[in-house]
Amino acid sequence: MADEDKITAGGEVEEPRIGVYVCHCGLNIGGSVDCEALALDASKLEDVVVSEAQLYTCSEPGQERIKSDIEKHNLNRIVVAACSPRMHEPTFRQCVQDAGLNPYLLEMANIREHCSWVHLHDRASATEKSKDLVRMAVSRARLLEPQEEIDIPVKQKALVIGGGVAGIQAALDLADSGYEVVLVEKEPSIGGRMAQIDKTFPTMDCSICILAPKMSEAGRHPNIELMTLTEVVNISGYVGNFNVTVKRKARYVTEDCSACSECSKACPQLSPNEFDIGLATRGAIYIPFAQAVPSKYLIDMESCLNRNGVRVCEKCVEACERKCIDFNTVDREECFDVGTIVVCTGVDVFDAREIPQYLYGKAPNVITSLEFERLINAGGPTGGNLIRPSDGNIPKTVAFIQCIGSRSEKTNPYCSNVCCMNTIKDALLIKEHWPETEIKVFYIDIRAFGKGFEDLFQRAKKEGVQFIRGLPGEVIELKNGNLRLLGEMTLLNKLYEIEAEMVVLSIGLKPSIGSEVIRKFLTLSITSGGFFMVAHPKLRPVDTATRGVFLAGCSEGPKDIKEAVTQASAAAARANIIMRRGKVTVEAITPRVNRDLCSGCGACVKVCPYQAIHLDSDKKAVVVEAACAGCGTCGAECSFTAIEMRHFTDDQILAQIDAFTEHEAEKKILAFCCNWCSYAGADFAGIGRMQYSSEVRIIRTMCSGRVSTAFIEHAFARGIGMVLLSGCHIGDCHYIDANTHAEKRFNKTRRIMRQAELDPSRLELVWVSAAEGQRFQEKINSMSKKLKTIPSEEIKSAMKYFGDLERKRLEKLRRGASDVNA
Amino acid sequence: MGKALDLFEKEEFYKCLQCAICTGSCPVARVVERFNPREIILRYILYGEEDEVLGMKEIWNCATCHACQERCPHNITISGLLTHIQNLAAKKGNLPDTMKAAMTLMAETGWSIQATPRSDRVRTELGLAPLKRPDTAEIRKIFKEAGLDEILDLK
Repeated sequence: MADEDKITAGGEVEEPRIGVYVCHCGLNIGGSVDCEALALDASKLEDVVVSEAQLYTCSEPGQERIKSDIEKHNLNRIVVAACSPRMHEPTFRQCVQDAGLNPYLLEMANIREHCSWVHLHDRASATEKSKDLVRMAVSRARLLEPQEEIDIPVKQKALVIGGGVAGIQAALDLADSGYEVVLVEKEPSIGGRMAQIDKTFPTMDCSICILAPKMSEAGRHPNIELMTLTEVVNISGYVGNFNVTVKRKARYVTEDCSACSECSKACPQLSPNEFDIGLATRGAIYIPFAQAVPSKYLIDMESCLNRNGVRVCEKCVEACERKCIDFNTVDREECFDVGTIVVCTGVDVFDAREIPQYLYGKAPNVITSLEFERLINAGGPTGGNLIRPSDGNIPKTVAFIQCIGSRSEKTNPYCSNVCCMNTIKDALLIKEHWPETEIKVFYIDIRAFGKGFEDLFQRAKKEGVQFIRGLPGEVIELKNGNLRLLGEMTLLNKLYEIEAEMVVLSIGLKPSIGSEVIRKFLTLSITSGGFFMVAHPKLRPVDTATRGVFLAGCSEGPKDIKEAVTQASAAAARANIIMRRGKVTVEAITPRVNRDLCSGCGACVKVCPYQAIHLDSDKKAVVVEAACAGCGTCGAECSFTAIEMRHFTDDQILAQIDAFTEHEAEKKILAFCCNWCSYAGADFAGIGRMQYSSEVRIIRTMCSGRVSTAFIEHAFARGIGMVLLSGCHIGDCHYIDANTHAEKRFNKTRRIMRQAELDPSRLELVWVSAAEGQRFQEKINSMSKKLKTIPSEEIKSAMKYFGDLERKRLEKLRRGASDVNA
Repeated sequence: MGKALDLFEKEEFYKCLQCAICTGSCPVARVVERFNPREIILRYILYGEEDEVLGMKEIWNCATCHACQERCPHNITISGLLTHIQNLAAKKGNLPDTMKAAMTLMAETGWSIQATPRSDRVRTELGLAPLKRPDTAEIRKIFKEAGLDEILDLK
């Protein structure tokens, strides 16, 4: 294990020469902490060569002082006791790097957010606590090692999953930037939902007219390999090097197809046409729609008469001049590698049969908004005539019912974003063709939030469209096919009974079915609505938590075409950053496996949220650096101490515990805080000047999953008063679900304490988000109250019990290691 | 917000979007002009007009058919709220005479519809045994448990 002599990058053994800099930060720290006393105390610590207090360490003169001291005194470790590392660690890392030191040889002690700001009225305690915090920092600094960040090469190729408008845009942007792109689409043609709708809001452009040129460009772009009728069956690997396997389903029609349509004219079979939502039929051999890209026919084997492998019908073959029908085609798999992935899996629509009282599926003249699009579309099954399915007549009154399947706990709780504007657009289309039509829109709210939306809403009202607040409770079908809607006009406090010749249900959007499969491969998180979650809702709106994987379009949530295209270009730009650099740098906090100690038990493999560690053919754990996010859960899970977490080693953490438990450990609280949530939450308490009791000493890890039961045992063995585990809320863990392992270990240790007749409430767990400063404050204050009531026998019993436990464990490991070495 | 809400998930009612599907489904609202489940939630919960609502006589028209609750997009316990409003209103003296009479009859005789001497005679003619008189003591005990002694005179 480590001793205090450190190997430099050059290979010589060196003794630590530590410089300690205590920052006054004006009065922020100096106002409640005696910085001079702190610097003096630190100067007496072993290996500390320089120790002084400064006014503003992060300023030019402050930094210059550090740099010149490094040279003058040959310092090789720097401790800055100042603000939170979340504030200035990058600043000081750069500072020491400029002076020729490895940036990982810097440690900060948080004596501002975690001390001076939260103990404003107790200078003595604040100063004593700061002394402990500096000692902890010095102890860690002794054990810090220079680290080299490794670079992983990035393949200059991207995968775009989904060929709707978002996928098409992302693919074009990346292809135009010079990268190879594979665009995978499960349908026989790209185009997605946008190809199905008639006009777009608010411009009233013809949808397919503006989409088709983009589809065409994507189809012939030299950098885009278009794979339609193709599904992703596996993705493994990591950013820069994803290995993708796709299944290319059989089309049964070759590249020579010129889309002449003779085959489909000859086909005797009929099936509902999916593109027209079943409002029209197609043959077994068909093209999905006229503007399909690729412009090729395909055979739906389910409806073809030859589906059982026996050739009973060859009408299409006979009709085909170019002889491009091949019944012998089979599904085949293809593999390729990419550097980045953009997920554009889009949406499906809500099935209105789930709301039976609106009679969808029962009354023929109740249709959905998507069916409306196909009817009113000039290229649709009725040539653009909005006809009633029951009798083929153009309706004189049309009712739209909003929020179908949205804003409801019974169906989807979220708002589907586009339905209000879609209905306004639909109403205007009807008025354009049949101006005498009476149109009523039944709504809860009208959401016309985007650019040009309010104008379109006004236009609709000007054209005489009536907006009635209050959804119908009941829809009754009349003998003539008309529908009677019963409800209440809430703005008039009056009931209504309104008859309409046609009802259009404004259906909501749902995440596309195929997205679940993609989610598993890429370890993506989803939000409560089932759409993919982004890395940060405000600051990283197209990144996912998985590096190298981006989202665009409705896969991220319901949105209109403009937002989808915007996101697609954003995702392409983000992917471009990674691919242009040609390499990704892995922060040097990944694990190192000691193969001699590794028992091949696989416990680490089970807990890794990123599948970044696995057993090789020799049954030894092996880390995939680029996939690893550095949470440390594997390191904490390993009971053979075979995994060393770089820059957050067991020794460094234990040394920090030892440093402040030298004196009066029973009066202190050890708190483990995770970098992303609870440490930030504690910072937030400081920023908000939320005062709490000064017994707590915080140790930072990247994730609560890093905290092993061994650390907790050690703390109790040292006589600590209480221990607090804290991290992100379950479901919000920065490392997906690593915090669930912290919870497991907490429960396990409490069980052990109960069985040993110790007081399990001396160990606590709290989930604190970065915004929950108050929660942290309240927790510390309540623990401090409890701390004062713990009898010394309890402290001693725990010391003995956990001391014995630790000794036994270490002895077992020593024996195991010597067996290996023997 | 009143004791009514102690029995429900408070957050539940705030989810109300005032969509009016409840009133739109309500068979009573069609015939009783001032009976409006949506408005009752708005005034009682969202606007805090408890006294006004508790003083309305129309609240007694609820048929407890549960159509509102069934159809509510947020599964709000509207029917349950109505029942509880009725209970609170009764305690404040807002209880229709007809209901008071029916409840008193039940406490005294054990029946909600009284058997008459004629029905006894017809039973004998048809060879049916006479109707058993229910145990009114037990009924009165149940009424007391339910707090009905606050609004009825239970001897």
